[in-house]
Amino acid sequence: MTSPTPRIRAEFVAEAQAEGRAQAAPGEAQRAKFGAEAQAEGRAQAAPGEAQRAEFEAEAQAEGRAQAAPGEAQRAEFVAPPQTDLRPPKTVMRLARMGSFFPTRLSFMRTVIRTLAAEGATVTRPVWEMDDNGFGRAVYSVPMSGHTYSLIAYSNQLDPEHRTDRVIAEEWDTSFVLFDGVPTAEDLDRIQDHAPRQEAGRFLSTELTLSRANKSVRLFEHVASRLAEGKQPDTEMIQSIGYLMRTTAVYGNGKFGIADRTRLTDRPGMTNPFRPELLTVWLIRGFTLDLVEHVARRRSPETFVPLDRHLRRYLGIGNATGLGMAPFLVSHPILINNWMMVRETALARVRAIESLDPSTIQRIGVLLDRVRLHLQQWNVEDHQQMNRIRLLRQEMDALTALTDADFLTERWPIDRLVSAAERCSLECQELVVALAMEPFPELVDGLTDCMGSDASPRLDASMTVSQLTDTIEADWSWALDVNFALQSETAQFWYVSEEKLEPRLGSRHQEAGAEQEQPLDVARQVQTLHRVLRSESDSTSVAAFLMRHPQHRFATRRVQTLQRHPYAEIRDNLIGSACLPIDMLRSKLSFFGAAKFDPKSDRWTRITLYQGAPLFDEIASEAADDWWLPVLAPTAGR
Amino acid sequence: MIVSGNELLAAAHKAAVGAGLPTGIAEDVSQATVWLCRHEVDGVQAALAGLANADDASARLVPGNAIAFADARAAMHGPSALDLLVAGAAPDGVMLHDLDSPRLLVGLAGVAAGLHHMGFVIRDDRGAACTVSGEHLAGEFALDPTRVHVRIAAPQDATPEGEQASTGQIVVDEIMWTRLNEYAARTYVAATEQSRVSGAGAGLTDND
Repeated sequence: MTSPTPRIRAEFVAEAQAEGRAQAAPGEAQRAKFGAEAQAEGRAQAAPGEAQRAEFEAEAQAEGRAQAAPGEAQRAEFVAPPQTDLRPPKTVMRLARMGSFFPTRLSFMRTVIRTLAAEGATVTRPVWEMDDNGFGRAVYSVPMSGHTYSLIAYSNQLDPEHRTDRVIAEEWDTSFVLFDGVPTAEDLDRIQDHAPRQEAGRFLSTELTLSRANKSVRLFEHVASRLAEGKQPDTEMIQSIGYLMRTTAVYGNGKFGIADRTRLTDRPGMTNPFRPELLTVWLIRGFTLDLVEHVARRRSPETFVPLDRHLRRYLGIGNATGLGMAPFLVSHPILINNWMMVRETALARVRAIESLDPSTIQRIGVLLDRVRLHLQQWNVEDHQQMNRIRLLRQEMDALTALTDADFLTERWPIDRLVSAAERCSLECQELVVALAMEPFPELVDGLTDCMGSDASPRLDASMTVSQLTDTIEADWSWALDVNFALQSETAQFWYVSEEKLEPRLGSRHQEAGAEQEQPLDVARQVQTLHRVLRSESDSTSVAAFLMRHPQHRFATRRVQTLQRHPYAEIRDNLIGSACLPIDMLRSKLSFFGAAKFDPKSDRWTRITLYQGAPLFDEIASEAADDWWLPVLAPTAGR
Repeated sequence: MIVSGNELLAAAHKAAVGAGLPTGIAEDVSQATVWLCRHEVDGVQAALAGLANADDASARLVPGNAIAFADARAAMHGPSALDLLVAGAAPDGVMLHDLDSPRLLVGLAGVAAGLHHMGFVIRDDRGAACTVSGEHLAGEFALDPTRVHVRIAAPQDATPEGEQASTGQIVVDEIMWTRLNEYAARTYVAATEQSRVSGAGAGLTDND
């Protein structure tokens, strides 16, 4: 067999030529961070291949300044890991595919655990003030990269009538703050006046996140009762629910007065996307386990038994995620580009592996077994998702049968595995992508340093109308092809309700409020821009054009951003009737590392976080990073 | 009161849209508001001064060789003036006559300076001047309710000097903050029973 690279590269180059540009290159932040990763790995810059390096330079020249990437000397030393060409944005950045993503070893929860594990972090519990019913407050502290962070937890009695996962809720079973340092008693008293009120409270920059969670009433009570009786809980119930509490929001980055992300920008261990938020969730998970055992022990100290370790590890944190998460993918184009670019780069690197050693082949076999068990244990009420899971089980069985010893010992095994999956459902394709990365930390993990970005999209006012038009026609054909005269293509509008500012999705042709629409209609705006540009002189500058047409500033900036950051844009009409917000949610949640997607409608889903992750006292174990796709061993709790 | 930078950014963005500015302009205005506050200038007051007449601002170029806006609005014409300077289309600078919020123009210039690695000098017709370069701000510019004539230019030799941005807490006047949020509230859709039941998670019990 020959290398897969020429075939893939040929296709990609053809497409790139058709699009009038070279292969997709990362942007500003990535250039710098590829350098950071390279330093971390003790080698020169880990940039993609020649085509991309050429584009780095072209972009730098276009910017009229020196390239931010390492200089000539470093490039001379640079030995890039081999990689195939990236899957093109027009393939990757589609809602249906993004809505089929699975967590990978790039996911942010995995990196939280890897960081803690690498440092051998020890979690302490300096405060535990709980009554017999588990109401009170607690503090957990953990050091990370030279700083100490503390989860402050408040547990309150909640009338079941007031228990709702929606944003419009005003009371919760528990509320949490991640505190920068170790809080004093005064801090605890101050925050206790605000945290239980969540959005109605005010916070200081010593508070890094704000969160709340509600109990899974059935499971929490069941586990507490069983442990009090000296018995382990029902394994099937643990498996079907999977968490004792579910968070309904984890706020970060300045909300309600808490610290801006910039407070942590230069702090080691805290630069990865959503790091404070996901550290918070891991600590909350540990708190829920302690709380249920506390309640059980106080109920019957004589007969109480602790929760079986396997069951403890299987219990994650549930989460109810609604529409609020979706606009984030549109309002952070450069960040999303970086997430996607890194994901595709990781895939391209593992596809370029020419041969596998026996231990890696064995490892892939173990992972395939885990995939099959995970899929068996993933059951949801939603008929559409359940049908997808059933199909996925069949497809993975077939792929597992295909990947016998001969398949994996031949050349280019990962590329052939990924290619074989391309005949299957999107969900299967993306599961194989995640699987393919898992055995190769040395090729994948360093890339996680390239996933952040604080860069703002920049307007190139010197571009001409002709150039802007060409760019739209090259990159936005998916938007130009939409017939917005059809009601179905403008069927929905995104808005913010005055009711606790809950993000909602309205039916444009049935409901009022479209005049306050949020700008998720990117495709429509770019199409309108393209139409207006036709009546302009080719040589007119963007500066002069926008002076007369300021309403097109947003779309112009989007077009120019996509030119520099090719994975920055979801290539679907987000206001059409075919747009399913659940796809956007799953995409983002997969980057968090969520699994067990449990859609409750096309606009919200439940998930579990940190299911199977190391417990507080397991963080330093050798297996601390081996929890991709959680499974409950059949013997657990018995 | 103390607010975070991100909180201010979001509120200013919504306020700018609520005041009638296009989304792309609102992006610039909100960043300018935070930039000013980070340089210990009252960005909220500057933004409010720029939002007062935001919905009445089509570009009115003064005939002549120099580029000049008549009856200039910082929110609308500021970004255009900076675009022209960044594009090299206004080597002699841009005049903004009767500018409503000179400080907002300073903030817009600060953001543009950071993005484009440039420097800008802003002078009014009474001799006040500001230099904005990268993260630095030098000089003081009064918020003038009577409006002033301002020239903004991008000299090649604008070098970093003056105060750097602070990453500390942002203190805003509560009355101004309330006014900003009144503009922001214009972007919210009134709650109705229909919208409530169509929200994610509606109609289900969470006592499971």
